Amino acid sequence: MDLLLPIRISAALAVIFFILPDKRKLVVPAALTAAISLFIISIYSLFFRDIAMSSRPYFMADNISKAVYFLISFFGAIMAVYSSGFITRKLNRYFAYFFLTIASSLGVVISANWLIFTIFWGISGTALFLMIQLESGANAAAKKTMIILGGSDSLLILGIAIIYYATGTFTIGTAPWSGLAAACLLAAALAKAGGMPLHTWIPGCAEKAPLPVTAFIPAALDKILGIYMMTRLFQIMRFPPEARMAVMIIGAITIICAVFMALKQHNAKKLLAYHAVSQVGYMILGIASGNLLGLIGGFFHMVNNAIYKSALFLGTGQVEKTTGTDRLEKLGGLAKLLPITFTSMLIASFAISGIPPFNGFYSKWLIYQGILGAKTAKDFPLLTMLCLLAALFGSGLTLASFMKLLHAIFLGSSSPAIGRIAPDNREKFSLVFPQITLAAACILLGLFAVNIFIKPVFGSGVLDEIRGSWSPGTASLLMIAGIVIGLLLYWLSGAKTRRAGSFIGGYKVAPEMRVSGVTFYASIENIFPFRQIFKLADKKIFDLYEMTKLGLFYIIGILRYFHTGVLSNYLTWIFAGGIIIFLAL
Amino acid sequence: MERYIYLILLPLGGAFIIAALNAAVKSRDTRDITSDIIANLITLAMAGIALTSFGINGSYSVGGWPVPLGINIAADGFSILMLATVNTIAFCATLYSINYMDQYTSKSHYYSLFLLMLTGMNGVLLSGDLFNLFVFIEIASISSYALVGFGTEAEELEASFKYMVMGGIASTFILLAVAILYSSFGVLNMANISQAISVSSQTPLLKFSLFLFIAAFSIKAAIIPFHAWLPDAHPAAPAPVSAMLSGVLIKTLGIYAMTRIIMNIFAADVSILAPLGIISIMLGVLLALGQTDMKRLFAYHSVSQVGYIILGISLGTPLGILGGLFHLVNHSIFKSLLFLNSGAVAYRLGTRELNEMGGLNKVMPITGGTSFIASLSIAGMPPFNGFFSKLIIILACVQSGHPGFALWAVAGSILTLSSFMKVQKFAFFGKLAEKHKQIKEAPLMMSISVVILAVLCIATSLLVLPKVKNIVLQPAVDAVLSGAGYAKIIR
Repeated sequence: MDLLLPIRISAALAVIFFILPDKRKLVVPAALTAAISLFIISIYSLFFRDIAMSSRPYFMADNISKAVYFLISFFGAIMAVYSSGFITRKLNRYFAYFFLTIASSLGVVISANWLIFTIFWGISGTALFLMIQLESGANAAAKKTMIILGGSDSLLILGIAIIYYATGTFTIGTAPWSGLAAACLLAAALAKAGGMPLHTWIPGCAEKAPLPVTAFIPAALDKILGIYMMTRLFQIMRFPPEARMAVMIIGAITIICAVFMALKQHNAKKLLAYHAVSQVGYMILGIASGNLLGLIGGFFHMVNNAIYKSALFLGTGQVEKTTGTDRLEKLGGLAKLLPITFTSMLIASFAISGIPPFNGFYSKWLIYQGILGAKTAKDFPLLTMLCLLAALFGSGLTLASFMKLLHAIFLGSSSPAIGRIAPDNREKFSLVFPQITLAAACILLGLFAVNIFIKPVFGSGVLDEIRGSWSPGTASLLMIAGIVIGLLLYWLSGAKTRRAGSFIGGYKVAPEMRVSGVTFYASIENIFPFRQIFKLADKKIFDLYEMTKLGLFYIIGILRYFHTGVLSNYLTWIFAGGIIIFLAL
Repeated sequence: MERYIYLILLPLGGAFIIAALNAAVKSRDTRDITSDIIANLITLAMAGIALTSFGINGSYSVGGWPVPLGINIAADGFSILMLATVNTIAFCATLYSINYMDQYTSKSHYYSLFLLMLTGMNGVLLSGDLFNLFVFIEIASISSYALVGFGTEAEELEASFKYMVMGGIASTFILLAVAILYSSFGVLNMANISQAISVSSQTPLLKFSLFLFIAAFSIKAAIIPFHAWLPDAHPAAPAPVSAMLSGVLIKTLGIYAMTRIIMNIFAADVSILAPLGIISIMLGVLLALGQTDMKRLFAYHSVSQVGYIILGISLGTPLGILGGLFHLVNHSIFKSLLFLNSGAVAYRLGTRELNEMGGLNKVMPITGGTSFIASLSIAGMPPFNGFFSKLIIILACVQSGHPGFALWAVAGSILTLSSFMKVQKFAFFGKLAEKHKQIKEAPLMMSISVVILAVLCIATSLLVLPKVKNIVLQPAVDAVLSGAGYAKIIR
């Protein structure tokens, strides 16, 4: 029993579920039992076992790997519970691919050999493709996802080939700097994590794929894998300041552009998807800064992001399950109907916006410090500070767009469609339990980050650098005290309030005239440069995938023009080609 | 050594026996069933012989006439690897034909042509004599011209005609080159010519014959710009024949013969082929991306994938040749699987047009699943066989100091993935059209055949393990690398 055992078990489970008949009564209990026992076995082997000596050259587990390993197993268990309540069709296939995903993700994070790494990496991409395909109508999104992820796998191979050429071994270890190799590996990591410009598969995937798939893979697992790989890349290669700066700029652009795109979405899942892209920017910034604090911050942010982002997606899933839509303008006033979902999404929103004392604040704080002490600060002081500015600014915009989301879904006047919801569509244990767990994790990781995350993973040696800067316990006590005092003042002073309906020139407000949560933000789409930029974005000018496609089909058009089917033309080619070969010989 | 002679005699005899059935058996059903059984038994036996031959090198003089007077057949690691591939694919194709060829009349004619083509290919792989090489190339080519036109519709006949004209040019070139070599050295035995070339000075005449060989085999291997016959011929043929043509024929007549002659007889520099390989990879895959006809799309991918093989071999390093040959084996498996899948779809739907398909996974799960495996293999996704061979080719490009080549190979790989995702999206995933709801899975034998190939797509990944590699691939690489040392196997 070692760390490889859970991988073997979940690979076997994938085969078993593939064969099982699609009977809900059979598959759901089997999947829950399997997922939870898998989690227990993983935890046991994580804390009490290590990698067997026989597989040592190919697999390894340092603290970073172990942290990620734990996280993947944890998400596996949580998501299995949620999926069992959410997915209704093709459950057997769903869980087969689900366990395949877990097996391959676990494999990625403990492999010590680039080849094994690539194999697991590729399988996880294929499993995602198959999972997206489970929803009929998602095949275009699945195709785009697979092309971007699979294409970046090819680049990964090239990167590995260059490293192999330089070091003579496939073992993951220090490698000399090579711009091409770094670019290739970085492209693979960015595609998986969803950094710009390779992020374009995520919004489409979030919109079309079954929701638990989005919450599990693009929002959590693929971020984990992508950022894990990036962490390793920065460990094994010594980046020159220029390259570091370039990566940091990618991070900053990712934060800002994606958050602006998020701001204008009217579709809850797409909004979250753009935030899933935006948050990657923070991780990139932190890791690329080359500062220990930044690295810890970036890595910690990856953990936090996985937690709150999937909490948000799961909440949206609950809303969608209840109301049948995720269009923000059709929703509203759901807080009374779905109190637990509202609370957990509120906590997760605070966490993603970086409000203390939640976990998102802690990691962003570390990232800011990391950027201030970044290795690029000496050569490019201005650009580095711009990156910091982007990070701060992005945080504010994140808060703004989450206020939009929460207001549109849970607050405000309820839309006419909401009244007719059947009671059995309300919060179910299997859908709520994962949300509670994740929201609790947001708070716990925020308050006790040092003890439950930083010290076990990075050792207590790094504590001296952090300790003085932020002490979540005291701060949250002060904050709670402030809120309590404020409430007390409010009650004691006896201030009067009254509620009044909207006044629209004396007319009665009919239900269909209600103001939906999205209208407040419409103005951003009409201000000067944004209007033009959004227009271009709608035409997919910024989508690398679509633009490449356009260019390629232009070339294909030319090539096809020459293939006339006329034999004499073809014979001319043969003689022309022959002459060229003859001259070259 | 005698075992190899059966690889030529069995299909040759089988072809004539089946042809004779036409005259002897009056009832069509009996004739069809008998020819099914005979053809399948023969290909099964041949696959068995070929697959158990690893490591049995040597030469054999037909009729006991010693070299250089008599004809001799020679087998080294390279030919054995090719024989194993060709005969395995041939068995899967004949198994598939049992059901598939019911659509056509005169199954027995089909089988005799098929077996003749197989005779030609095995002959090419075993021939130790240049003139015999030419004769066997002609046997294989002429029977393939007939097989391409087997449907005798306008489209098939046009394709067959174009194929024949261009194939004819290639054959003329080969014959001319053989004549030049014969006039220079007075022998036809490949080993003797190889020895003679290694001690002779480089005359312009020799160079001219090398050029003729390269041009001719480039036509046979469908390397761009010599490829124009392939996108017409391969889709027009019946599916099992397309599988044979794309899977093994272009490799036997094109790549095997070219590699054998350039590397083992002329011992010449092969680096001239690298640009050809890259052009084929890129243009082939781009042309494929624009297709909506399923089989035509696959056919253009053959051009592109042959580019990879050529690129690997042209590096001339052990790793490059290993990658090229490994990719050759893998490509014959997944490409024939893809063509058989397209045949199954056409068999049930009656169309090859991607726009008319959709959601076929729901009604044809075996065809859909195996084609998914094949698509991932050809796109080089782990853990399927194509991943490993592309990995080796890319490694070899970087190792031999050509990272630029590697970049092209990677770009081709991304585009390959894109176009196969297109196939998957249009044909197998998505919404099933109302009129296709009644469709059933392909018949039993067709399904068995594709499942065998799909399993092979995964199983051949194991060839990368050192123990297996040393038995299967390494002898082939050594044989290619030995250059003029090829002459030593003739006793």
